[in-house]
Amino acid sequence: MSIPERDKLLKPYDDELFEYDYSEQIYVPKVEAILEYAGINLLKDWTTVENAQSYLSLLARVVNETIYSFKDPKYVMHMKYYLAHSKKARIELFKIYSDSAWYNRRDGGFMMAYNSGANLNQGKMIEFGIDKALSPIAKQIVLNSYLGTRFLPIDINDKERFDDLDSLLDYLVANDYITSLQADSINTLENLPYDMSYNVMVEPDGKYLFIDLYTFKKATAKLRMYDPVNGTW
Amino acid sequence: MNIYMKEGNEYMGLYVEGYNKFSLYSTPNQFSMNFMNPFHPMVTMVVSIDFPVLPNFEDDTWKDIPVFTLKDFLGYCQPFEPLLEDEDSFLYNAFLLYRALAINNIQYGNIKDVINWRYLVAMYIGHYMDIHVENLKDIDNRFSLNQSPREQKYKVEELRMLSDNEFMSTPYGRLFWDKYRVFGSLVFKGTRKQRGRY
Repeated sequence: MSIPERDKLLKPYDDELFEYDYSEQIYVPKVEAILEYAGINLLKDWTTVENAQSYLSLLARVVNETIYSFKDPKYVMHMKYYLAHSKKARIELFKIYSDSAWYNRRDGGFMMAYNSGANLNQGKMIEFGIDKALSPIAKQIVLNSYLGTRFLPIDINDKERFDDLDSLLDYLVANDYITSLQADSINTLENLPYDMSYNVMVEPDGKYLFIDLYTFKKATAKLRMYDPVNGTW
Repeated sequence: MNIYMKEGNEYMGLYVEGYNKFSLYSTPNQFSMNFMNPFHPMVTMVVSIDFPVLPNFEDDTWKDIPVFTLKDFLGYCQPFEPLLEDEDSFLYNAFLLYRALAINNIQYGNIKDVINWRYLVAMYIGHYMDIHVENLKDIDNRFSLNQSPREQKYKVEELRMLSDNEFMSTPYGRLFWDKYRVFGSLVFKGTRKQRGRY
């Protein structure tokens, strides 16, 4: 277990708050959810649901990219994985989306500056920077959670614990890491065959800790890929 | 160094080799000599080093090392608590590795006191975890293909201390070295060998 079991999602899902955009790998808030929880009727501004939803897609992209800007670029993909598989991150994201929807609805919010380069509050042209994408409160929500750290402080590798070597070997055989023939000749951890896909460590209480080092690789292998032949995802 | 050659008989029988006693009967020439003259007094001679007294490698008084868990570490190094909440935390693997290194390098037999030993092991791990976290953050983009800042600021006293001793580079390293140098100075280093993990 890496992302705590109580927090982990096997895959991102759609509900009354979000729908998951598989092409960009981000959660996009729904128009009704923003109306219900943030009290903003986007239909007044955008007249149709499609227009409002497109606006929210753009908003979601800006919010997500701003969150990634806090990260070391090496860890952005890990962060994407975490955002898609954590219940807690889902809640934090919706708070930030709601706040950003408020922030951007005001005249001169970042969307206006984004589109025109003009800040109507100050009546002058401003340079649009990433620091203006989120409101001060939304930025603080990011910083108060793990979303704002440079390194994602969640180990996303799957882990298993075993009381003794025999049960560890049974697990390795059952999951095709080693064959049962190899398992028969293994007496200590040192005899385990070299394999980059997992690691086994002994804990202070003598238990064996198995770490699946390919957790992330396996997850990204299941990503929806663009099929250039059929033009589908 | 005072070296005395004594006759083994004074020990009321055969002496135990090792510690500070070494036999003269250990080379092929001596074996041949003994073969030709089994009653030669050299057969029972022993070299005994009275000073300095070498550590007795056969002594297993301190062989059973105390338990050192994550709880012991967090007790001394509390700032790591949010990063190492439990065994599923992202730094736990690194903790296990540095713990093994610390137990291997700070031998309990040299400290001979459980409280000081735990403190030293915690500080040693804290020192390396500090560097580990710093490297993970990688503020200077050192381990990245992105552009890294050209200018870096150093304090003169930091550079001086760094060149002296690696442990001086972190707060926990300084605390470790401050105490360990007392114990370390008492460890006889002449012929002492790392005995591997206890």
